[in-house]
Order: sequence, then structure tokens, then C-alpha cells
Amino acid sequence: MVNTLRAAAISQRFGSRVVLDAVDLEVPPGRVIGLLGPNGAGKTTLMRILFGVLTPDAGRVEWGGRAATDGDRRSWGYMPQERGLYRDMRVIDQLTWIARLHGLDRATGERRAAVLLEQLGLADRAKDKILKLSGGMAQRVQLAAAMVHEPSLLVLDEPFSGLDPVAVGFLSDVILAHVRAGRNLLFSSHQLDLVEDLCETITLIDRGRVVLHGDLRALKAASADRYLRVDVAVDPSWVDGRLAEPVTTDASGTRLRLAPGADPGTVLDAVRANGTVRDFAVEAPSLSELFLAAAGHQAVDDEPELQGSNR
Amino acid sequence: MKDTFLVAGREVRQALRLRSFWIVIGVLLVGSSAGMIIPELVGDGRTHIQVASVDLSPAFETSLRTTAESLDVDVDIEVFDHVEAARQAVESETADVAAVGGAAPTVVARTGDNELVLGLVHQALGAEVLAARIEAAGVPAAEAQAILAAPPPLVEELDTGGESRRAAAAIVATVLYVILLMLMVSVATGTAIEKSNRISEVLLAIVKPGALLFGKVIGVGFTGLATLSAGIVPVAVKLAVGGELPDGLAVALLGGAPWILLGVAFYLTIAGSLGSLVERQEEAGSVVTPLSVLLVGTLLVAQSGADSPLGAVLAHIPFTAPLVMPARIALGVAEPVEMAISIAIGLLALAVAARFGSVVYRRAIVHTGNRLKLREVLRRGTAGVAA
Ligand SMILES: Nc1ncnc2c1ncn2[C@@H]1O[C@H](COP(=O)(O)OP(=O)(O)O)[C@@H](O)[C@H]1O
Ligand SMILES: [Mg+2]
Repeated sequence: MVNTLRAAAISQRFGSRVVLDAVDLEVPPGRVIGLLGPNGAGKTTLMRILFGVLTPDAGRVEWGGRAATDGDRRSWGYMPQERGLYRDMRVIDQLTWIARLHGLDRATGERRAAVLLEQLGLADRAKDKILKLSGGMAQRVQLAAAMVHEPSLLVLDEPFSGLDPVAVGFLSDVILAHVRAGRNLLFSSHQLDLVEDLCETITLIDRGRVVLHGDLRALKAASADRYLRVDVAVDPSWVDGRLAEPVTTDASGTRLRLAPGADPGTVLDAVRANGTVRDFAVEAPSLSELFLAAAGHQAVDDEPELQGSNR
Repeated sequence: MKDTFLVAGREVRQALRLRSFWIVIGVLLVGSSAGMIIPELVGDGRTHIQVASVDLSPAFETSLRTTAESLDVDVDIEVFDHVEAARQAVESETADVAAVGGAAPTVVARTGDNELVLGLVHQALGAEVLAARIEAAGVPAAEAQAILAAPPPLVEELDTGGESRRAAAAIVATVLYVILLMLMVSVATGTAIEKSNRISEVLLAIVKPGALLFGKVIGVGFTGLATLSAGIVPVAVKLAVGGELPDGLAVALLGGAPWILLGVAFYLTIAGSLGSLVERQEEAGSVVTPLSVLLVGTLLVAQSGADSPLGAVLAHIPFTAPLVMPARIALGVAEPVEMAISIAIGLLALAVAARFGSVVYRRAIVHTGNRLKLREVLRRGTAGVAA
């Protein structure tokens, strides 16, 4: 059975500091939902509230249209930002034990754990203690711990942080497989560019407030902003500042924001008058540009990671 | 409930994998067995005395042995030819006492030595002299012997086993103290590891904080009591085969069991919740220091003054009762009413500790960044443990 997770008007303060301010979030089945925003935005706090690790000052968490129960939560899977496992426990024992906490019997838990380890390429390390594994392997065991009971809803907090490109690809595949099976998935990230292609629906939060949410393609299409990408480094003096201005320049060229109503062809001609353009495109805003437009500032970390990630 | 046992089960399984667990079990088993067997080997609590005799008749020996037997004393007599040799034996401690007959009957002993020995020999020597006099007065030797062989008066010992009861009280209290201390550190460290390893957040998303805390307490407590029973098994075996135990030991262990259980549950619940306050695993030991100080003080009272008025008061206080009450039971001074009241208070206190423990644990376990003060945690609301 498929359900929708809904968080409604969640508010949380720590001391005098408002960390979440009437945040709404919806996670329907079959879609990749990204909870995105800079560090300190309140993503982890919201996820803790979803799982009942924290009790919010206000707001509701619903599953399938009614208040989420402990039983519902037990059927979900959570990979916290603060990764943690018993270091002196064997991989297979740990996964089986967690499966049993989720309500599976021992035999089923063991079988599921073995299947999952096989999928994650860890079958030969099943009997090793966690402390014998490399960091990357431990990450995969952590993912396995969140999935060992075949959760209806999988919630991953900053799953991509610290991963190499191969691991990012691998994790993306796992995420897609989960939603293709018609289940629910929510993940968070502060690296907007990294997850741009993966997200189908986004909720952008900033300083505890939702600044933008919806279907990513629809949001991009609905934005009036347009960008011209050319494969040459553009000097600001080449184009009339009233028509367009360069926003980023890197090895692959320059991205110019077009002024409202400006003709891309005119801007392209101005660039071609100064350099050779072999490749160009008119593009909708990127995720970070959407964030900038909605939040009024860059989605770079607006605070060092105070809480937690002290490793 | 099921979660609690799953958590406890993991604790036990992990403990069974530890070499140190088996080492402690082994040490306790060997130590306790030795404590039970050695007294049997070295002579079932009877006193032995070594007597050097010079120039004495068989009447002396008979009389000495009869009296000694009535006092549970074994006697070895070695006959010397010369007074000097006997004296030498006493001096070099190969004999406890020398008895010299003849014209000037004398008992030779080292100063300050056992009065019982001295008395025994002195009495026998007196009998010998008496026999000689009776004989000298014309009574035939055989008759004189018969007169003197009359059984000596019975000796009735009152205050049976006072010393041994004190020893039993001290032993039980000390063993409990050591076990409580070990288990408290173990629970606090376990909680601190879970917090610093960040496994606690994974678990809290699945099970209630109470299940985590109490599962740990039950698991660690169970392994601790399993360890303790390694020390008790030899005692029980000896009791079962009808061997003699120090007075009060079996009573203290059996009668004290409720307080042992209450004490373990009570102290471990508090220690577990305190463990959640720390930021790093190494700090876990220091967080239970106040409790261990309290336990040391309690141990002193339990060892030396469990039957004092102070002991009677402490037997009602949940923090001190686990050590003091078994000691009082060993001494035979615990009244049934007092025990009932103490148990009732103990159960109540356990309920309070459980409530307190889970509140502290729930608030502190997800807080990272710095070590928390207990006061902060108790003052602030649910998650309001802001940095
Ligand atoms: N237990 C806590 N006590 C006090 N402040 C906290 C606590 N947890 C998080 N915060 C603060 O709440 C804000 C949001 O944190 P977090 O939810 O971790 O953000 P994100 O996951 O988006 O980076 C941050 O400013 C953080 O310092
Ligand atoms: Mg976070």
C-alpha cells in the first residue's frame, strides 16, 4: 500500500532561536523529493521531527491522511546525517538486529540483510566488524541499515555529502530504484548543484522557512528568468549590461542572465562579435539560481556546521 | 517491551563475545571455590595445639585430650627428655606450650599467647599433680585414674558465630560494591559510546528512548548478575552437599537478593542516563563519580556498622539499602517490618529513577556539541537543550 507523508505547520525553537517556522512538506510515493537548503536551514531538525526523535513545538506529521503512529514510523527507514553504527558488531549481526527492531523476525531479517549486502557489493564483508571497513563501505552499511526492512518511506539526511562521484552515481541508482518501486523517498542536501538532476520535486528551505516548493521542471518553466550559456569566457564589457550580465564563468564557458524581455539572439551576436562560439543554449534557471531568486541570497552555507558534523 | 528485550539481548550477546567477561567469571569462580574448599582442607575450623611434655604420666595425656576434645581442639603431644629441649621448642615455635612434670610442675608458654591453650595445659597439669598426690595418699593408681577421667564440664558457647556473621556481612557488601561499580561504569560508557558513535539517532528513530535505556540496564545488569552468580555457585554447591558455611553468608545472599536486584536496577538506571550527558566516551567514568563516592561511604557502614542505628536508617534509603540491608540480614538484625518498608521504598525509588532516567536520557542523547550539566537538562523543555 502506498501512502503520502505530510508534515504540516511544523515549528521548532531551541531556546529563543526559531529553527523551523510553520514548515509544510509533502512526500508522495513514486517521486524523488529533495529537501534542500543551506547548512543551518533546519533540514536535519525537520527529519528528526518526522521520526519522533524530537517533538516539535507545533505542527503535525501525517501518514496516509492521519497522524503518524509509532507503528508507522517503525515501517520507515532513516539514515541520519550523523552516521553511526556499533563499531564492534559484525555487519550481518548489526543489520539483522536493526531489522528485528523494525519488527522483522530473525530469519527474515538475516535473509534481507544478506540480499542487501549482496546488492551493495559487501557480501564478502558480512562477517567483519564495522571497524574493519573503509569509510565508503561503512557508508553503504549505513544505507543498508536504513533499508533492511524494505521501508515504505526512506528518508536520507545529506546522503551525498562526502561521497566520491562513483558513490554518488551508485546512491542515485538506489534512490531511483526505491521510487520506481512506488515507494516514498525524501532526501536532503545543501549541495544544490549536485542533486539538480536527481530531484523531481523540491522543498527549498532557508532559515527555517519554506521559500519554494513544487515540481522542479514546472518551477523552472514557470520562472521568467532565462540564461544564455556560451562556451567562451565572456568579458562583461562585451555585452550591454541592460540586456544581459555574466553570472558565472568557468572552464566550460560563461553563463549570462538575460534581462526580462531581452532577445537571446541579440546577446549571442554581441558575444560572437568578440569571440568564437561553438556551443550555446538558452536555459531555465538552475536549482541554485532558483534558490537565489526565492531566498534573496546565495545558497552557500550561511553558518559553519555547528551541530553535529564534527568529524 | 519487545524492543527492550531486543536491546537487552544485544547487550548480553556482545558481552558474551568479550574476553574480559569470561576472565572475570573465571576469576570469581576460582576465587570463590578456593574460599569454599581451602577451609575444608586446612581443617574444618578446629584449633590445633602442639604440646611439648617432659616427665609426665599417661594421666596427663588422657586428661588433656578429654578436655581438648570438648572444646573442639586437636592436640599433638611430643615427649621431651629434658626441660631445656622443651623450652627450646616453645621458643622456636615448634610447640605452642610445654608442660613439665616432676618436683616443680611448670607450664611454659610464650607471652601473650593463646590463653585457651595455656588454660588447657594448665588444667591437665593440675590433674596430673592431683593424680600423683592421690596416689601418694594411698589410693591405687588405677582408681586415681578413674576418678580423674570423669568427663569435664560441657562448654556452651553463646553468641554463636558473631565474628563469622560480621565477616559474611562484609564479604557480601564488598562484592556487591565492586559489582555495582563495575556495572555502573559499563552502562555509562555504553550509553556514551552510543551517543558519540551517533548510533543513538538511528535507534531513536526506531524505538523509544526508554526501551534503549532500560534494555541496556537489563542487559548489563543481567551480565553483571551472571558474573556474580559465578561467585555464588561454589557457595551454593557447598551448601547443597551439606558443607559448613560462614554463618550468615547464605542468609545474606538469599535474603539480600531483592536488594541486590533493586540496587542493580536503581544504580544502573541512573548511571545510564548520566552517561547520555557526556560528549566523549572517556568522560563516562567521571559522570558516575558522585555515585561511586556515595557507594564507598555506604560500604564502610555496611562493613563495620550495619547493626548500628545509622545502619538501621540507611537500610531504608534506596541509595544505601542495597549494601546495608544484606549486611544487616547477615548479622541477623534485620526485622521483617523493616525489610518490607525498605522494599516498598526501593520499588518506589526505582520507579522515580526510571522516570528521571528516561527524561534525562531522551533530552540529552540527541544533544551534541558540549557536555551537558544535569541541571540544564532538567530545567529545559523537551528538546530545548540549546547549545
Ligand atoms: N539540539 C539543538 N539545540 C540547539 N540548536 C540546535 C539543535 N539542533 C540544531 N540546532 C540549530 O538549529 C539550526 C538548524 O539546524 P539543522 O536542522 O541541523 O540544519 P540543517 O540540517 O539544515 O543544516 C541550526 O542553527 C542549528 O545550530
Ligand atoms: Mg543537517
